[in-house]
Amino acid sequence: MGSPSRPWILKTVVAVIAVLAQIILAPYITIGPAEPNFMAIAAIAIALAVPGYSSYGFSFGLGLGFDLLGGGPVGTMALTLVVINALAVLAYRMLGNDTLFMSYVILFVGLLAMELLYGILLLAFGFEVSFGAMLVWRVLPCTLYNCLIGLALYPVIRHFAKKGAPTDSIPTASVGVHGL
Amino acid sequence: MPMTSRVVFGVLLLISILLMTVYAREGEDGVLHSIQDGVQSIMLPISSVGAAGEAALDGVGQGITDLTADPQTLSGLREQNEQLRAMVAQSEEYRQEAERLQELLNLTNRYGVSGVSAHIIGRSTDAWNQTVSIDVGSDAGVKTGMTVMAAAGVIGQVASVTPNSAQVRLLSDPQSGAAALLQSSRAEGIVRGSLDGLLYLENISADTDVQAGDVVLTSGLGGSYVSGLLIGTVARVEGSPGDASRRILVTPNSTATSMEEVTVVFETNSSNSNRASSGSSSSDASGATAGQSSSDEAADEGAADEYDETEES
Repeated sequence: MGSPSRPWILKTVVAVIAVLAQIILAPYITIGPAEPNFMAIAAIAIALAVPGYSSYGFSFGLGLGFDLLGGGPVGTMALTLVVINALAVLAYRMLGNDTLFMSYVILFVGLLAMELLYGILLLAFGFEVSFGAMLVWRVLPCTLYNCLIGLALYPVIRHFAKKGAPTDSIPTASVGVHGL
Repeated sequence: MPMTSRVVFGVLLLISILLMTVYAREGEDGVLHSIQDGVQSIMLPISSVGAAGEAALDGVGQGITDLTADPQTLSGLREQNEQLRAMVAQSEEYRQEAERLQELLNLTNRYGVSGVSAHIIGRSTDAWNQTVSIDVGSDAGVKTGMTVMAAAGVIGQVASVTPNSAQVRLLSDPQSGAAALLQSSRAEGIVRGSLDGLLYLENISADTDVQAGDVVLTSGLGGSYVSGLLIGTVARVEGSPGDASRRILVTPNSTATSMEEVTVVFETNSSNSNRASSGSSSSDASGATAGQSSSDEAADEGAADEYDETEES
């Protein structure tokens, strides 16, 4: 069922939409200190919807794109998304639960972890703010905003991913835990 | 294929760490910085779509607000308009008097600003940086470190430049810092941005009396910003004189709005007169703060809130 090229088409379309949304939309739909990160949402959503080693490359690419488009250190979001991708897939497989609810839980925790890890890396780079201020004014508001957007976007991505994917590519508990 | 996954994960992790290390060690002119500037420059036409959309929505919103303004608001605005007209007329009198006095004393007008006009055509794509993109770059003489002003005051400093565009780091950015002084007491400090979007005046000596409404100007110390330009006014002082941990909040006089016209300041006329007296031929704006003559300081006392704006292409 579905052609082998479907996941690549889906990833390409999602990547293009995420990049355009980040450039055209994100800076102008901020709510207070919170600005959405469409690229990170797309990376983690794809990691859950189309799990596999190719999603690492997808996360890396989107993360690198985010770094090049923004003013932060190049490589930081790329590293963050690759790590979060791996942890999200690991959690997904260990839980062995393919329900939408569990996917949402992993997505939301992944988005929180992503903002936290990125903030910590920026602090390591010399970002002159306190950890507490970073948590209150960036990590938590941005995570909340990202979760709201992820709530809407993930089911769409998952729907198209399931339509195109071969049945044996969706991991379940019976397949066993393979770690990374 | 778990082994393949681990290999791919490991390789990408290493590449990311390598990129971060190279970025941290190289200077502003390094390869990764240049690639980052190039990508941002290429994406500017796309980001300007968002900027135009925001400007249009702002205009519609303002139109609706104007249409639905109640009579009390309108009469208040008319009264304020009359007061401002009277103040402008009085300021014009002072300006002409100052010009006459300057001619008498053979002094130049030190509050002319020369620079290049630009429009804000994009905003930062992430929540961690407060930057805007403008549509002029090195081809127009813009250099890193130059001060950027909107109609009513300083908004930030040029952080990076490409031939046809530049990134401006706003004063509200947590990584921003402008050497400043209080107009009333001439006490010097640093205006810093923060994650909560507010400006804080720091390093003011504890015994300086700071009141809400005090005007904050750039001091030009350290050469980071051209001196004598308006930043904003003190909004609130949390603490009292003598309290070393008091916080001074500053309301900026200008904010960066999409498609708004801004000026990249090359230099003020004060830097021209300083170079003329010292014989220097440098045209870099960072040299604008190389000392002030005592006659200039004596002449400008109390006139720091007026300046003319001129443009050079």
